[in-house]
Amino acid sequence: MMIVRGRDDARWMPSRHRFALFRLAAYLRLRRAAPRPRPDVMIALTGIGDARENYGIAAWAALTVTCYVTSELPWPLILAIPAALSLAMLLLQAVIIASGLTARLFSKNENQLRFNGAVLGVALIAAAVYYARSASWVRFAAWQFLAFVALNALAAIVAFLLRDSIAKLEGTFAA
Amino acid sequence: MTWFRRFLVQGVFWRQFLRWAILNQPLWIEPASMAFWTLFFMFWGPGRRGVMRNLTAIFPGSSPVTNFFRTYRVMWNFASTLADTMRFKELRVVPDWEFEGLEHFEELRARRGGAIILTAHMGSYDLGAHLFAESSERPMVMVRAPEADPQTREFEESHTARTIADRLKIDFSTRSTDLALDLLHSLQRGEIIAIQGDRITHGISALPARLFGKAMHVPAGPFALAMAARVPIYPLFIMRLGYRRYRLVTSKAIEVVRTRDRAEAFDRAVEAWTGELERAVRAGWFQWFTFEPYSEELAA
Repeated sequence: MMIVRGRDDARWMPSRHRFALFRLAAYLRLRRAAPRPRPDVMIALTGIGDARENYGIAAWAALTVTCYVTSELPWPLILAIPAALSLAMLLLQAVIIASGLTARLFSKNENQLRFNGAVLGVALIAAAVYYARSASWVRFAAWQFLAFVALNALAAIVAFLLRDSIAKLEGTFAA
Repeated sequence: MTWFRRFLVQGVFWRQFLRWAILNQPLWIEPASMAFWTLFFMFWGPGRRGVMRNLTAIFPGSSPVTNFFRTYRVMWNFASTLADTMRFKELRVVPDWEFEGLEHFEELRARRGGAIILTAHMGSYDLGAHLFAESSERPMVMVRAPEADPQTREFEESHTARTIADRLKIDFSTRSTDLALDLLHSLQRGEIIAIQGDRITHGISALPARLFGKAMHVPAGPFALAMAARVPIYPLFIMRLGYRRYRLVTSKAIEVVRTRDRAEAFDRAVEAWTGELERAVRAGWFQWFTFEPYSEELAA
């Protein structure tokens, strides 16, 4: 794992991020940023995302699932929304636990982050596809989810095409 | 009928669950899970009440409703810190670091002789110790209180043995007299001793102190060791600033100068320490992980 010492602008290194949209945003930000020397800073290049990325995606996924659950509950919104939020969290936990336990049946490797991440992602996309076909308001929640997934896929293509430029920019920190 | 003990707040199940979560839960959904499970732990009455009482001392005149939400933030930070520590132990993922009082930290690192790091139950003791071990050639001994639950203790010891850095050693405050001699020898060999000095465990000798105007006790060991070994005490705090961002705050060294009046020397050193502790807790109240009232005046 690379650790950059003394450069605060290293926070904008694209490789710190997981999702292509955030990597691309970081690349654009880093291109415009002037070097910010700070002797009291150590930045780790982990590739697992920063606060904006992980908090943002977690909130977005949780709220989207909450919309789906709300649409299924036959209660007034004032009761349905808090109940749906709790149920949505339980559902997400259930998918992760089921996926994790299933993975262990086929693999001795205790680290199943990638597999579970893929399963959860596919489950969320599948739910979005299902609810996108609904006639009710919930289809808008589903469509916005699918729109961001498509946007991220597009960003991944752009990031791939810019891979040399990204590597060159990040190489200045290794120096 | 002790099978349920593992599910109590300090039971081993939650450590095992946390480890499992770190190895199975995608990071991009973790904050949502954290928010959910923190809410669950707010039902832990004694811990919640302990934090709320401590907050009334840190924020005199504060309302119970505000302190209730502040307590949620403390619990959230506690959960996040535990997750960061477990992630480091299992996956060697390190957070970002900032340094405050870098000149004191560099002075500590560059020192030839032994030194004592006095810290509090804030941020991640383990992450801070590892950072120091990675950046210094000198061995460090971390003194900590053992886990109350025997199964949890066994779990933590087995994982620590597997993941600890070569230059780090853990020792337990319950070893009392033997520990004091071992630590003295460590200091004389030029090693660093790290101790948490914001609360005492049962059976440990203590010195009286005041924090936020309330009477409390701090462990006497660090001050006695500093005087006996003639080494300085560096107040050092590890603050969690946000998602995988930590700040290491190092303050000016406290010297426990040997004089004819030992008690007075200890009083001065303890006052200097509690001054630093108060400053750190006031700035980082949301991660002072003290789940019992720190003063008997608050417990009443």
